[in-house]
Amino acid sequence: MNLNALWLHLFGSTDFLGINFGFWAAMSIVLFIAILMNVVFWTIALKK
Amino acid sequence: MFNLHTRRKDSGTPACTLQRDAYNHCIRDAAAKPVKDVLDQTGTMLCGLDEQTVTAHRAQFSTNKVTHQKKQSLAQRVAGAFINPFTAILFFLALVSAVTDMLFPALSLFGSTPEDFDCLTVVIILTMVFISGVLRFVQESRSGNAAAKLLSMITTTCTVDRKGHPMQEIGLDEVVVGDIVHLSAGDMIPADLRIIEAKDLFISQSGLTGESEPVEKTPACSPDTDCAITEYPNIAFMGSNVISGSACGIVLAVGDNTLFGSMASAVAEEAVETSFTKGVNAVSWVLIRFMMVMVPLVFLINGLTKGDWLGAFLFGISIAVGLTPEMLPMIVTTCLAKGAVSMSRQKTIVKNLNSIQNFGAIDILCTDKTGTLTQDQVVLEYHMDVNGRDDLRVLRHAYLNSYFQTGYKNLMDVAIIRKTEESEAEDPRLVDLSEHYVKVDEIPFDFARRRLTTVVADKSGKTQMVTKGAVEEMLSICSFVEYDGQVQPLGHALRQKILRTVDELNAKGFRVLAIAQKSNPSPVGAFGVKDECDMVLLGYLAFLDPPKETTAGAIQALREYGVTTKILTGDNDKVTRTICAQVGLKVRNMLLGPEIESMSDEALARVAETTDVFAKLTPEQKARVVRVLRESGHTVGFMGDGINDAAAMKAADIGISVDTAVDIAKESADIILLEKDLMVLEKGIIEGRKTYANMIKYIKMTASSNFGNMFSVLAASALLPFLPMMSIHLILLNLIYDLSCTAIPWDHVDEEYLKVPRKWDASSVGSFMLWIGPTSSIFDFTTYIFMYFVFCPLFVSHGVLYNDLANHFSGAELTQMQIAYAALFQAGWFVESMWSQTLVIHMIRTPKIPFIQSRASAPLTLLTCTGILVLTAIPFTPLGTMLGLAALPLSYFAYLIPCILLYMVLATSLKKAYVRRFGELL
Repeated sequence: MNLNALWLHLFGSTDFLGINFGFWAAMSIVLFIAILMNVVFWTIALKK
Repeated sequence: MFNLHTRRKDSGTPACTLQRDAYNHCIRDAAAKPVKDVLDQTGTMLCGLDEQTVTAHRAQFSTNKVTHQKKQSLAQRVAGAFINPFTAILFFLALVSAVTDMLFPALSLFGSTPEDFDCLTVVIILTMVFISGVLRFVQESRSGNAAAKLLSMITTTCTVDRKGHPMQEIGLDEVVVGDIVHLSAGDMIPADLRIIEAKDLFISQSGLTGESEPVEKTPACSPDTDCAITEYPNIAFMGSNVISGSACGIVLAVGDNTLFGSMASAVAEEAVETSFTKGVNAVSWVLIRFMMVMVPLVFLINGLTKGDWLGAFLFGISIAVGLTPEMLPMIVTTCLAKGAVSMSRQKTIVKNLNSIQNFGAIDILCTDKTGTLTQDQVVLEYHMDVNGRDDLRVLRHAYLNSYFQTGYKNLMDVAIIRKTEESEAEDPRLVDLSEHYVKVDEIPFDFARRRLTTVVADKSGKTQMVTKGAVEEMLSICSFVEYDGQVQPLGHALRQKILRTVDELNAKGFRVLAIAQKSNPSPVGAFGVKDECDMVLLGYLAFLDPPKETTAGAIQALREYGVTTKILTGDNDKVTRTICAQVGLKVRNMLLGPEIESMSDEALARVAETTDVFAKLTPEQKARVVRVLRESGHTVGFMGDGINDAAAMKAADIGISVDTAVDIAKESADIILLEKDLMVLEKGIIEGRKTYANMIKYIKMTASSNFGNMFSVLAASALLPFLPMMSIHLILLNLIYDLSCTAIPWDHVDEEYLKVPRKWDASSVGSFMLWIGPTSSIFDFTTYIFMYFVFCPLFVSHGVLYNDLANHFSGAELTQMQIAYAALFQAGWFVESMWSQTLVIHMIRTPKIPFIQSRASAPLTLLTCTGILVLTAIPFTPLGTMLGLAALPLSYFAYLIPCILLYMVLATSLKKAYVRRFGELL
């Protein structure tokens, strides 16, 4: 499956603000992981 | 002459068996023969050896030094520094790299050509092995020299008669075969001796035989050839110590030729591993196991995704190099050695480097009263009759008792002698008192009966038995009392009056001893304890040990550092309470020795938590209190300097003594203070915690960095179409990072961290690794993303992603584009990796905000900044080109700076979450 061709067909472009969508997707995942880490570690129960 | 070989042999060899047989024969022979024959055979006289004979005997029979472990040659020490699991791994990797990077290309094997020949990886790995080994060798040599120098500051001496120099104090290692040695309570036996004179001599041989009860030694011949060597009643052995009594002996064997020496050489001397040493080793093996799982995984993933198996293999090797904590042994050694030297500047001598961590972990300090609450300058204030009137006869008798006793002269004996000599000018009856009497006999002091007796005779032949001791124990042997100038029977009413008078004195802070005498005593045989009866009580001696003004402040200062002080004393409760009140020490609870006797260990453990002072304790009770506190989970230090403190010091996590202590106390201690002062102890504890802090920083940093690197490398291997870094880049990165870590032993430690006792906790390393490790991975991922999607397309391939290069370029141009793309990517991660890895040092060394709230030491800051700058500059230099790194565009730094700042923000957030969860960071 050609993801680029599929993306082009659906959205008309493979770029957003001049940068490949892959960048935005990857950065979103990283941001999500960073937020998730904070949520998990800050809400974990205190050690007795 | 007794002829014992001076060369040690390996245990179990025929030569060693022969040597032991010769030794046994010599001992049995000396035990069976009368004293005169033993003197002749050792070539000595009762007045001692002359200098020439001393030199000759030292040359013939060797020096009095027991070799606990074979002295390592320079080659052995160098080998020890270089041969360890970490350098072995690196060496193996260098070997593999030599084969793949040098041998295969040279021989054109497996598709390699001579143009592929590259020795740089091998050179760098071997450089790392060399630097790690050299640094470790240097630090171990320095710590060994420092330890030897520190130990030489602690002197253990013995008393010998040498011709022309009777009762001379010499170092233990100066004793030679034939020396006449004097022993008294508290002494370590300096060599194997034939006892020629003894007075109620009791020796503990527990170090040799395991027997806990002291054994009596006498000078009588013992011709029995069937008993074990240690059972001979007239032979005393090196490694045992005098519990009570006094004696004289001829040295039969010294150093390695003694029984103790033969045991020390036969048993492999392994340093007792503390929980910290075990923990460090456990962490090291966890990291090695990580590496052993990671490397094959990375190799497989890269091989399968990229198809370049050789490249994947080399990359796997460099990952292994990066994950190997080769600097760990050097950093730990350096921290401990530096800590020991720093502590010596705080007047604290560390006998055993491994005890530094325990020192920092102390949360309860048990200490004696004398010298801690008091100034350790006992003064005889009053010498009174039973009515409380000043009486010179009491002082005279006390002087005769103290002066003529040959055992260990304690502070009160010294105070009596000093007072008498000071009073000579005022009263001629005290002048040259010792000249008017001769000593007939003595019954030495022991902690069970708490009395000391000397028997003296004046020039007219009248003998007197003079006994002094604790009041209750003295009253038990007195049937009479001198009252109003007359000798009367000691009835119940008088006993009560005496006890009330003593109580009043105690309440004022005086330590009181009673003194009694008996004229013309007629013993059966030599004088013994049974002769201490029907004595006439003369009066009291009231001593004052002035309270130390700094005590309350020192105890408060220790409390601020999380250390609770408990006083454990053999003195009575009234005096102790008075002294505590005088120094301003609040006593919540006080427990007495007799009360403890009826308690179970569980009950004692409960009560001991809230008890500040324990009084009237026997030595065994002191050890018991220490033991139950340890079993309750505390780390207990015991400070003492007397014979009665040795058992408690051995029972404690850490034994602390002073340089002026008796030999057995110094021998039992792990730490020696050059000044008996709680403030000195406080400084030592702080240094111990600093040493621990810097060690744990490196351990946690290495563990978390390596863990985080795992994720970064795995993700890169799986997702990228090329290797994220060449193996040479990883190895160079590791080298520069390791060099910048060498300054960690000199780092500052936050004041707040030092306020709490620090105990090694293995689980804290694991949780730290899991929480903090992935932080740097986040920013490795962002760097991959920015480099792959933004910088490389922008500056190399005209906006084309790597995966699309084949659609836009072909042939040589395609290959050139791919190489340039990868080169810029690798340079970008190379620089970011160094920045984030080095900043980890500053981030995790403190729970506070680095650079603002807590700054690293100048050496560490300088070294880390230099490392970052050097590595950042490399891509812009010919070296960078040689390594296959492309020069980074300046706009890269417009990404790098915010990236690093965001990394610091994320790391700070997770640090704070970690502290919230676990209570502390390190």
